[in-house]
Amino acid sequence: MNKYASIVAAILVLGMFAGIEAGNIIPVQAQDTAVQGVSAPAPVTPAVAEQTGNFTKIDISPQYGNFRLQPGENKEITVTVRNKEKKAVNVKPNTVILPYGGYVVDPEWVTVTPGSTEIPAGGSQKFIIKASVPKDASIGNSGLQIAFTDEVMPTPYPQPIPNYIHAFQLSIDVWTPPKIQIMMPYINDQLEAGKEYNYDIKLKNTGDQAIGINPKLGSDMLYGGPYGMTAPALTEDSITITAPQRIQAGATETVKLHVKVPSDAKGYYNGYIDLEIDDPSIRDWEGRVQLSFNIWKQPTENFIKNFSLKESVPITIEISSNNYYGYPPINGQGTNAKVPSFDTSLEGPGGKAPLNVTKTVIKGNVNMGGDRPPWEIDSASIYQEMGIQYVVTYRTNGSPGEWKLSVLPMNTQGFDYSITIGG
Amino acid sequence: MATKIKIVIGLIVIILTIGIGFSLSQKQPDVKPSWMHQVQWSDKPDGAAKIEELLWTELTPYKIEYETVNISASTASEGLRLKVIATAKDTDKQDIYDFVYDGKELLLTGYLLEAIPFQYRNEAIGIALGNQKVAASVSSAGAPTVRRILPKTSEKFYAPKTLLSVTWGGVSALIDPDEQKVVQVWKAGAQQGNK
Repeated sequence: MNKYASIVAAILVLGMFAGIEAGNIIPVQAQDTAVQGVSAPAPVTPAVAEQTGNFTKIDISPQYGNFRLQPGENKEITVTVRNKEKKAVNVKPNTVILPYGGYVVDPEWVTVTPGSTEIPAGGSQKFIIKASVPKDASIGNSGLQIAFTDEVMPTPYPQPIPNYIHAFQLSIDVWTPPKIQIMMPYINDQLEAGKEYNYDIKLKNTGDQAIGINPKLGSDMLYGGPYGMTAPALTEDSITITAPQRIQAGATETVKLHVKVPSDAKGYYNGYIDLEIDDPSIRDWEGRVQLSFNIWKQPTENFIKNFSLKESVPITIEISSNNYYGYPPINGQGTNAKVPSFDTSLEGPGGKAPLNVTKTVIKGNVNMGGDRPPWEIDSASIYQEMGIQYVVTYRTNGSPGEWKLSVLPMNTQGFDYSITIGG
Repeated sequence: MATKIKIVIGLIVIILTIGIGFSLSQKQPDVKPSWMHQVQWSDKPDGAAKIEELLWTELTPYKIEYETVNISASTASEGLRLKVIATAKDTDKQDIYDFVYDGKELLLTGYLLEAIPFQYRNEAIGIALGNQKVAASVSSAGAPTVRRILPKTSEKFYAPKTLLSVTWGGVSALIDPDEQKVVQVWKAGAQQGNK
């Protein structure tokens, strides 16, 4: 009995392996059929679409692909072309280079298999598109099309590159890993007019050869402040860069940035330092350190508000800092944003009145989703603090006559006040 | 000869006894990942070990190790609500996960993942600002939020992989950190679009 059971078990185990083998083979056969089922190249019928507007009904799936390859690498993608016509269609893939931008992919890097075929009515054909980047290729990216037919979209004027209707769009990005790591690619800080600041940008050379650098301040301003393209708050004279000429293999060096903010500066400065790293794997826009400074000036004169009292009643003064709605003014690197405070005084008919701080309130703005990008929807149920406001309340006893409130705000670019008479 | 056999058998029995006893005295292997250093519960529920086992497959730090993981549980109609707050040494920000546990399965119902090392956070901001559409739209010099977007969410907008969202007030860039590029830009009041 045991012997029979062993035999049955062995058959079952063998059967399972056979099933697995068969399962593996089926798609391979199907793929082989698709790839190898190439009929002799048939002449592709010249497009008559331009005259008739009736295009051959062909589906291409997927329609887009993106290869990111290092020199010497290759990658392939399978594209399915479905014939939705009631008759066979001849298809002959043609690689069309799109010469937009400076970088051009050599058409010989791209092969399409099969080179041509006839797809029966209602049938489909898989094409394998393979891109092989030579070892000596330079970095850059470019687009190309694989046009499966020569049918083009009619245009009233001749086009430099025909707009092929049955085309697969392929983007090829040739890259190499950068040898210089920029440890601080972004500096965002709040600066005060008339003061000086220092920042360190560390660069690490992970390669096996020394690499030259030549940091310079970017000449083109990226963008303006909240009110559009206004003159930047800092000029080139305000920013000094000190850097070594090269970074030895395996070493970490520091590019020093000194910012001397003119005493009359105000507004925003948004720019960048172009490190000019002599590493071909780093593209122009990658070898940069973005700068974003918000410059403000600490006022020296008090804000004055006059008011009058008709009777002897308590006076309550409430001063609140700007609510940085949106996002708190924390910094990318600097720690120059400080807690707002107020130097407040009150003068009445009897001279300077004693102004006692009765309470200080830290007020927050908490968001639970709101107007957020759609990819942050999963954070909608979680509390998110968006801004902090500091509110100081003072109180004194008032008497009839003229009163003067003086406020000198510090570390805030604006404030609200309220004067409550009585209560 | 018989004595030698007895001694050998005796030694084997002793070794086996010690071995079995030692193995029985061992606790179950600790399934806590090595990148998670300290776990703290508030209101630890029954079956916490099973929940932890499921949680450790769901929590995913980004290029850091979690120093502390605080788990708080509360009962809700759909099961046990779990809030997980993870902190790390390399950042002052936290990763927050919300789960519901129905006794069998753990469902991630929300997340806010900001525990991103300083270097990668700034790198993402730099990539976002390198996009002209984003740079031109940033309305203040304030620092943006940088949040990790998990693959299940990312696949609706780009590809099923970890992405970073860099957001200023009303403007956000979705970053592919591997490819160092902006893959989507969102502006309040407008439809999102490709870079």
